[in-house]
Amino acid sequence: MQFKITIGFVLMVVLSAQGQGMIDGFMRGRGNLTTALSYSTESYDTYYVKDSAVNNPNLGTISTTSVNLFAAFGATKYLDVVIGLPFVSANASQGYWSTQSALQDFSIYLKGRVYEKGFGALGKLSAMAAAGYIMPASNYVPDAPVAIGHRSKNLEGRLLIQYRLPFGLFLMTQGGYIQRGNITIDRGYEVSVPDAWDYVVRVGGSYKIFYADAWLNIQRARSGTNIGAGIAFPTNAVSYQRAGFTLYSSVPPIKNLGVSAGMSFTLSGENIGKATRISIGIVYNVPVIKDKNN
Amino acid sequence: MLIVTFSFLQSCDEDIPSIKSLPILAPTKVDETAGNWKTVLNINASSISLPTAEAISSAAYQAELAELVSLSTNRTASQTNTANYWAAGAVVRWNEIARALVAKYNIAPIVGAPANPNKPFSNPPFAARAYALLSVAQYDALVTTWKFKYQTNRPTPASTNGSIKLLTPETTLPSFPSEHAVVAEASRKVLEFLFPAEKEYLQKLADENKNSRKWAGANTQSDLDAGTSLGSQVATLAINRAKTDRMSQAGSQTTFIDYFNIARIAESERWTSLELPYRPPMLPLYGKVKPWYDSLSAFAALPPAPPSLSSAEFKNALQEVRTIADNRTREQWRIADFWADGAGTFTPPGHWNLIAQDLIIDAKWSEVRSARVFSLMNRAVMDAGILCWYAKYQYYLPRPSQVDPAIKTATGIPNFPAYTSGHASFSAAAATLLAYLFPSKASQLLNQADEAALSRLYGGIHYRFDNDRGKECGAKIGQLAVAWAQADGAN
Repeated sequence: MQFKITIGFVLMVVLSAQGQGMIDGFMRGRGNLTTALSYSTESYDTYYVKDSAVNNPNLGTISTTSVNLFAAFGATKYLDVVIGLPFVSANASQGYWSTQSALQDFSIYLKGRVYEKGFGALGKLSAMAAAGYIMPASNYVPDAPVAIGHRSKNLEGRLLIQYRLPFGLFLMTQGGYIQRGNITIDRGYEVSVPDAWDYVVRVGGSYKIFYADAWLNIQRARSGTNIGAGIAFPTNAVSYQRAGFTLYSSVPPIKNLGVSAGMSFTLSGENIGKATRISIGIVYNVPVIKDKNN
Repeated sequence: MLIVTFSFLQSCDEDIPSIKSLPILAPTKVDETAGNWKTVLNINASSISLPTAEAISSAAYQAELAELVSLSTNRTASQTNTANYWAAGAVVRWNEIARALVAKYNIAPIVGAPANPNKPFSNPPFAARAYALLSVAQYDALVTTWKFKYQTNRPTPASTNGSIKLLTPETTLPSFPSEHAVVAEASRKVLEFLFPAEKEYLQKLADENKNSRKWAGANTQSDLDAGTSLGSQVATLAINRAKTDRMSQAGSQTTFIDYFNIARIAESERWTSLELPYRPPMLPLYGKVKPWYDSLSAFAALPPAPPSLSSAEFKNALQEVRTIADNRTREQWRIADFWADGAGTFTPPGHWNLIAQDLIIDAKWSEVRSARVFSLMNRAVMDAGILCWYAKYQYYLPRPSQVDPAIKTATGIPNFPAYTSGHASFSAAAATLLAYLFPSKASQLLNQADEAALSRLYGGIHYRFDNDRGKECGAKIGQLAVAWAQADGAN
C-alpha cells in the first residue's frame, strides 16, 4: 500500500525552524514513533527592511546553522504528539557582533484527525486540526542584529486538509494562526511580538522507500514594526513567502532508517533575511509500542 | 474554531500602552520662596514684561472664571484624559516629549550626506545639550514665574469660584502666570530650535497643554497668556546662549586633526572608524562647546593620557576585554544591552532623565523644584560629555576591536575614540548630583552609574580604564553641580 509508509515528510521540520514544517497531513498510527536528527544551514546577505531589499556591509552575510531533534508519536490512530527542539547558532561575516548559539525553542503539538473520507480508487480526503505550544528552551538574546529567535511563548492553531491521490501522490493545504506572547527585552521593558497567519501548500509523493515533495509557505504578520534604528527586533512585522522541496529515501540494509535532504528559498519577504536553506537529516522509525495485532 | 479561540487569546491584554500613565502631581510643598532661587542665565525679572493681571473683581476676570465653570463642568472624556495626562506635571511631560524626539532623530545620516538642519542627528552629545537647554529654559522660566506669582498673588480660580469643577488638587500656589503655560511655551520654543521640522507637532502639544489647564479648572486664559509670554521670553534667552555655545562647529571634520594635533600620535596607535564605509568620527569638536559650570574647574578634571598601546598595562586591559568577550555571560549581555541606549533611543543622557523623572514623581516635588533637578543634572551631564569628548580627541585611542579584531561585541561600536567612556562620564555626573538631591537613593544611584560604566566593558567596546577615568571626570563635574545646588537658595 503506497499510502502507508509516510515518514519523509517529517524532514519538513528541519527545513524550516518555524512551525510550518512541524505539522503534516499524515498520521503516525498508534504506537509508532518517528525520530529525526537533522542539520541545517542557512545564509543571507540581503534582507528586507519592510519590503525593500538591502545589504549591510557591517554585517556581511548572516549564517545560521541548526541541529534539530524531532519526534512524532502516534498516541492513537487519531492523535499524534509532535515535538521539536533545535540548537541554533548564528553569526555575521562582517562587523563585530558576537555569535549567538543556544537551544532555541521547544515546541509541542497535538494533532488530531477529525475527518476522513475515502473515494475508493479516486483517493482519500482527510482533515486534521493541530494545536501547538512553543516556548524558549533557553534565555537566548532575541533583540540583536544577530539573533536566533524571538524568545516569545507562542500558541498555534492549525487546520489541515490533505487529499491523497492514487499512486502515492498527495496534496496538502493548511492554515494556521500563531499567537506570540509579549517578551521583556534586555533594555528593561516589555514589547509585543506580532502574531501571524501562516499558510502552507504542499504536493508530493509518498512511497515505501521514497518520499518527495515541493511546498510553498506564506506567513503574514498581523501587525508590527519595521526594521529601524532603536526598534526592538522582536517587534518587527515578519512576513515571507518561501518555497522548497524535500527528498527522503530509506537506507535499505538498515531497517527503519532513512536519510533526507531539502532546500528552501525565500521568494520575498518583509523584515526578514532573503535566506536560502539546505538541510540534511537521518530519520529513524522506532516501533516501540506496536500494537500486537498490527 | 481553533482560530477563533486563538484570536480571542490574542485580544487578552497583549497591548502595551504607548503613553505612560503617571499620577497627578500633588506637590507636598509649593516652594513659595522659589522666586529667589538663583537662575542659570541670570534672568533679570524686571526685564521680563508681562500683561497686567486684571483684578479678581474685574468683569474681564469674572468672564474668564465663567468660562472655566463652563469648560470644567462640561469636560468631555477626551478632555479629561488630556487634562489627566498633563496633570502629571508639565516639566515631567515635556521631558518625556524631549526624550521621544531625541530617540526619533537619533539616526546616523548616510555617510557623505550633507548636513540637514531639519534632520539633526541627535546622538548622545547632541542629546546632552538638548536636555540641558530644555531644562535650563524650564527652570529659569519657572523661578521667574514663582517670583511673579507671589508678586501678583492671584488666588486659584477654584478658590474664587466654587462652581469650577477642579480636576487637579487644591493648591495655595498663586495661579498667575500659569506654570504649565510657562513650561509649555519655553519647551515648545527650545525644542523647535533643536528640531525645526517638529514645529507644528510642538505647537499642537503646547496648545493642548495650555487648554488642559482650562479643562482641569486650574488656570484662566489670562494666567495662560502671561505664562506663554514669560516662557517665550526666557526661552529666547536660552536659545541665544545656544547660538553662541560653539555647538555649530562641533561637527567640523577639517579642523579637529590640527586642533588636537592628531598627527603626533603614531599611526598604529590612532583611532579609526570600524564602520564600512568609513564614517568620520562623531562631533570631534564637541569638547570645545561652552560648558554650563565653571569651565576652568571642568578642564582641571581632564584625565591623564591613557597607557600606550605597547605597554603592559594596555595589553592587560585589552586582554580583559577579550576574556569577557570570549566568555560573556547572559547577565553581562543583559547589562550591556540595558545601558546601551544606542541608535534610535533617547541616549544615555536620556536614560538618566528617565531615572530622575521617577525620583521626582516619587518625591512629589513642585514644578519648579522638579525643573531644578533636571537643570542641575542635565548641565552636569552635558559638561561631563564635553570633557569626555575633549579627552576622546586629545588621546584618540582605538576601540578594543580595532586593536584585536577577535573581540566580538554585545552592542554597537560607537564611531569615536574610546578614552574616556561617555557612558561612564554621563552616568557618574548624573548619579553624583542625584545622590545629593535624593540621599536615601544615593547608594542605588551610584551602583547604577557603576553598572552603566561596566556595561561598556561587558559589551566589549571599552577598556576598564576608559570607564574608571570617565567615572572620575563625571564625578568631579557632578560635584560642581552639587556645589551649585548648595548655593542656589533652594535648600
